Amino acid sequence: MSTQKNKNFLVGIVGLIFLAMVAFTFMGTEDESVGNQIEIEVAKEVDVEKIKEFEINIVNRKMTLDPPLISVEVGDQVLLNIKSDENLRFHIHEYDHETMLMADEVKVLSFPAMLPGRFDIEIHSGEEEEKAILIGFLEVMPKA
Amino acid sequence: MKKIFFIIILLQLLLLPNAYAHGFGSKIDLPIPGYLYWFGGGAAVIASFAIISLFVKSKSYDDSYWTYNLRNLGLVNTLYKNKSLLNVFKIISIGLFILTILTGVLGAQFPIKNFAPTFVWVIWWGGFIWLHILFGNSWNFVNPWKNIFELIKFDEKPLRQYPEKLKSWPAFGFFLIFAWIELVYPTPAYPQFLGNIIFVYSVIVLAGMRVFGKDRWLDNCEPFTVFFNFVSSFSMTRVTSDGKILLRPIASGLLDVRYRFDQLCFLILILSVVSFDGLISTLFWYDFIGIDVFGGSGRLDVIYVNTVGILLSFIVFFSVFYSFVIIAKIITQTDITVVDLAQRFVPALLPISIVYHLAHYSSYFFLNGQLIIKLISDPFGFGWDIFGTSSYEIVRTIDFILLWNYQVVVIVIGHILSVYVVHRISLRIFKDSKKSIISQAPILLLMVGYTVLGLWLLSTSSI
Repeated sequence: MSTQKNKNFLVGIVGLIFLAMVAFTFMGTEDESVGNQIEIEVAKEVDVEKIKEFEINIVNRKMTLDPPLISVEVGDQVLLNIKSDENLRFHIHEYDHETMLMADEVKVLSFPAMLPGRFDIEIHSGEEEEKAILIGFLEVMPKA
Repeated sequence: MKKIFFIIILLQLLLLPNAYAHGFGSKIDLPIPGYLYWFGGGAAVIASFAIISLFVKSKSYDDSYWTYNLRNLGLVNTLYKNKSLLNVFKIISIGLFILTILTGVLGAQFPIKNFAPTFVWVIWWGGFIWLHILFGNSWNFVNPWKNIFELIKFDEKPLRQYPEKLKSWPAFGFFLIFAWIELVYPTPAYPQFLGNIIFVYSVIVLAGMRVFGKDRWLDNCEPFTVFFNFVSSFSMTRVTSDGKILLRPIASGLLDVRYRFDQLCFLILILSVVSFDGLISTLFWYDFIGIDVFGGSGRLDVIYVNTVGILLSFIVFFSVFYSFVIIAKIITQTDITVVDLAQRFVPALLPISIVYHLAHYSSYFFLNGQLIIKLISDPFGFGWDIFGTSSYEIVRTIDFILLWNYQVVVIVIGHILSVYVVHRISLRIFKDSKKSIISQAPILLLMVGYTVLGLWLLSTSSI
C-alpha cells in the first residue's frame, strides 16, 4: 500500500517537473547577461623596460599578427595600439579589459599584466553584439 | 527541422562563451614548457626500464598485495556502522540532483549564473573522480537514480529478463552520447538544455531499472556506474562484501579484475574520449582539420568533423592497442588468443587514462569550481544570497610552475603504475620471468607512447 503511495508520489513529482519544464520552455528566456563595462586602464608610470608594445591591426575581423598571440611576462605593462577596419568592441577575457574601436582610428589600451595564463581576445560587432568572435590570445607567462 | 535546430543552437550560443573544448567554463592553461615535456617523456622511458630491471628476477607470480582494514580504526568503524550518515549522503545526493534539474530549467539561462552547468561539468564530472581515487566507489552511495529508486521502494523484481547478449554495450552507447554532448554538442552548458537532458535521461534510467531490475540496469546500461566502477579499481580503498574497508596500494585493485570484451571497449573508449578532449583543445587539431578557429563560430563550425573525430579516436586507440597485443602474442608464441590477451592487459590502460583526466582538468576544476561557492547561495541566478557567499571573489591567480610540475609528475606516476600493472599481469599470464619480460616489451612501448601523447597534448598550444 505504502509502495503504491510512493509510486503515486513519484508520478506526481515527475509530472510537476515536466509541466514546469514545458511552461518555461515556451515562455522563453530573458537575456540575463550582465551589461558590459567599458574600461580602459591607461598606462601608469612604470619601468620603461617593462613596457611591451604591440601594434594590433584587425582586418576582416582577424588580427594580422601571425600567430595571433600577444606574449608577455607577469609584471610587464602591456601597451596595445589597436586599429580596426570597422567599428568593434575589443575585449580581453578574465582581464576584462575592453574598448570600443572606431573604424581606422588607433585606440590605445594599456594595463599591467598581473594574472598569468592564456586569455582569449575577442571582438563583438554591432550587428551581433552578444556574439564573441575569437581573434587571438594574450599569453602572460610566469616569471622564471 | 535541421534549420530550426541550428537556429536554436545559435540563439543559445549568444549566451555562451566561444568555447571549443570541455563542457563549460573558461580555460586559461599555458602549455607546459618544452623542457618539462622532454623531462616527462624521458622519465617515463627510464621508469619503464627501471621497473623491468627491478622485477626481472621475479621467479613466480604472487597475487597478493598489502591491505589494511580501516575498520580497525575506531572512528572509521563508528562512521561505517552509523547508517544515518549514509542516509544523509543519499538525501543530499537526491537534493542536489533535483536542484540541478530545477535550476537548469527554471533558473537564469546564463551558465555562470546557474547552478546546473558548474555542478554537472566542473564539480561532478571534473572533480568527483578524486573521491573515487581516495575513498573507493562513492558513486555507488550517491547515485541519485539508484537512491530515488530505493526511496520509492519500487518493486525490485524485474518485469523482463535483461538480454544477456547485450552485456554492457548500452552503457558504452550512452557514454559515447555523453562524451559527444560534452565535447561536440555546441551548447552543453546551456542550463535549460542540461536540465531537460538530465530529466529525460532520468526517466530512461528509472524505467530501465524497473523493467530489467536495478542492478542489471546499473551494471550494464548506466554509463556512469560502469565508468566509476572502473575508476574504483584504481582506488586506494575498497569495501568488501563482508564489510571490510580495505586500504591498499593505489591501482592494485586492477590486479583483481578481468574484463570482458565489451568492458575492454568501454575502457578504451574512456582513454580515447579523454585524449580527444585534449586534442580538440589544441590549435594543432584545427590546423589539421583545416578550420580557422579565429573569427569562427566556435563548436558550430566543427560539429560534423568532431563527431567523426570522436568515433575515429576510439577506432584508432582500439586498433593501436590491439596491434601491440598482436605483436606481444607473436613474439611470445603463446597459445592464448589475441582477444584473451587484450582482455588481460587492458586494465593497465586505466592509470594512464585517469592521470591524464586529473592533469587535464586540474586548473579547470580549480578556477571554474570556485563558482560553486557563489552558486550555492544563488543557485537559480535570481540574485539570492542564501548562505552569504554570492559575492565570493574568485581566486584567478594560478601558480603555473606548480601546475606544470604537478601535471608532469601526475602523468609520470600514472605511467609507472601502468607499467607495474603490466608487469604483474604478464607475470601472471606467462609464469616464467623471461617470457613475461618479452611479452611486456610491446605493451611498455605502447604505454610510453600514450604517456608521451598525454604530455604532448599538455605542451601544445591550446585554445
